[in-house]
Amino acid sequence: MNDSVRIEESAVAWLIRREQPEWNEQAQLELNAWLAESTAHRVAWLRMEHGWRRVDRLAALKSPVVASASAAERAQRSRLPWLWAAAASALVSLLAVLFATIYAPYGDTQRFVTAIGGHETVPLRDGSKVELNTDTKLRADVDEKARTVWLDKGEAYFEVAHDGRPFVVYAGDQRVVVLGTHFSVRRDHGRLSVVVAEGKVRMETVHSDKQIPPAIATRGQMIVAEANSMLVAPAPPQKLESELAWRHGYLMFDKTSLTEAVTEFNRYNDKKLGILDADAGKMRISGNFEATNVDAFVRLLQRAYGLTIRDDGKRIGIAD
Amino acid sequence: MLEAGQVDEWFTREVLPLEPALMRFLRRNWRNESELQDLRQELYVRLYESAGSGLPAQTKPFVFTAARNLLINHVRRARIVPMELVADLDALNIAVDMLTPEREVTARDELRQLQLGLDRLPPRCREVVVLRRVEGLSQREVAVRLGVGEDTVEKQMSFGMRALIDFMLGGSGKIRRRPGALRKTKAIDHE
Repeated sequence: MNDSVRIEESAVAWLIRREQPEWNEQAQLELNAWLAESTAHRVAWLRMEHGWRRVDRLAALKSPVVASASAAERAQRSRLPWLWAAAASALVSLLAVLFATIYAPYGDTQRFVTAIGGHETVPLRDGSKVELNTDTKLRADVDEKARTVWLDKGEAYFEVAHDGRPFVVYAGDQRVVVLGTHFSVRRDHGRLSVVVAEGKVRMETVHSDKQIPPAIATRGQMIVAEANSMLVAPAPPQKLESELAWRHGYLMFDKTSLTEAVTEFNRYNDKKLGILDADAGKMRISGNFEATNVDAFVRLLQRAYGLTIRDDGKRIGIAD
Repeated sequence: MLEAGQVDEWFTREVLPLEPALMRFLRRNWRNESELQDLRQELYVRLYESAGSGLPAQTKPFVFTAARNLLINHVRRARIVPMELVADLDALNIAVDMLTPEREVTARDELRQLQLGLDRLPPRCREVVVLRRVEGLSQREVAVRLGVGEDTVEKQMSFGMRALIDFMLGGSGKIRRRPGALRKTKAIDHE
């Protein structure tokens, strides 16, 4: 019966293993098999996973408290190098940023652009894949030491090849440090959102007077950065699917306001939709739509929702 | 029968948050501290399995009644029961723990708790956890930076995670290691 320690150790070993970049479908099947072996395995796993999610969420918010709680006490124990290590690594990454910013334009930079409605998957020189969504502009630079991507505009989904070099995505004032493998970054106006499908990423503010702690998101979470704030939110499977539906050419709405839906469609199409009265904009719609097929969407609004459509060839107006 | 996902969800959302109160109850009524983890594990298995045929309407009484029954069974099964092992079976009162409302915990409290948990870890172990989770280094990067093997990093990480999780769930944060593991990690701590 002294098994509980051993089982707990196994559960943690699985948790650790799941976060390694090598994690794949085969490994998931092995985990499933282990879980199916006994209820004891399953409850230990649930407990560890639950506890670890909490620790992680806090660690993501940590900096001010965790790093500074007892400076005096820490000074006494100054043999502990981790605070110094942290400071040193912050300096190193700062230098790396400066270096990258100064030299990147002269390097052998790959550039990618998609038009409105475009959708393309491109390889980077390190073997990573980037899937560009509509109206997107992106540069990538790979050298012996680092892999750097600048998302100048739009949205992209990254499948990062596993190698020792760090992989960093810059978008405006934010920087996303990749600790895992599959995630998307979307930039619109003052807002940056990162959805993590697999692995883990860390988002940091590059230059800002204010000290904003970095945020870490793991699989099934998203980070939204706006102005001077960062929010880590859960992205359950459904949400994940709808956030990434564009990869299959679809937009997924779930009780989305018509105003938001129209904004989404306009990202993909030259022929813009406009809402002519506020009431129509508040209407909630659900469903999957082909992102570049505005006409089908408009027909549905007309027939199913009884809205009035005015199409002058360049713009489509929607009214109640 | 319910689907596994539903029971998982129930277990995570409703049972695990009761752990601090549950452990208080077990600790008060079971003198042998080293058996608490096994008791908890056994209890969780029972709860999970009986929920498979239908979720209880009220989780808290369900959990505490099961805990009480488990202790009683253990006493009955034991051939020799030390006098002080269970103070008094009839006095196995679950009301105290059951009626204690779950304290509202703010994010700030939780952060403080996490800080405390980190401070309690052995220095080497804490260093590994911080580098991995806060700094976001990979296992290999941590190994290189600290000049140790990857398996050492993994062992420290595993121990640190278990201790932190236990502490965050209201335990003492003192985790049992298996004898073999203990010797090895001790040597690392004191190198």
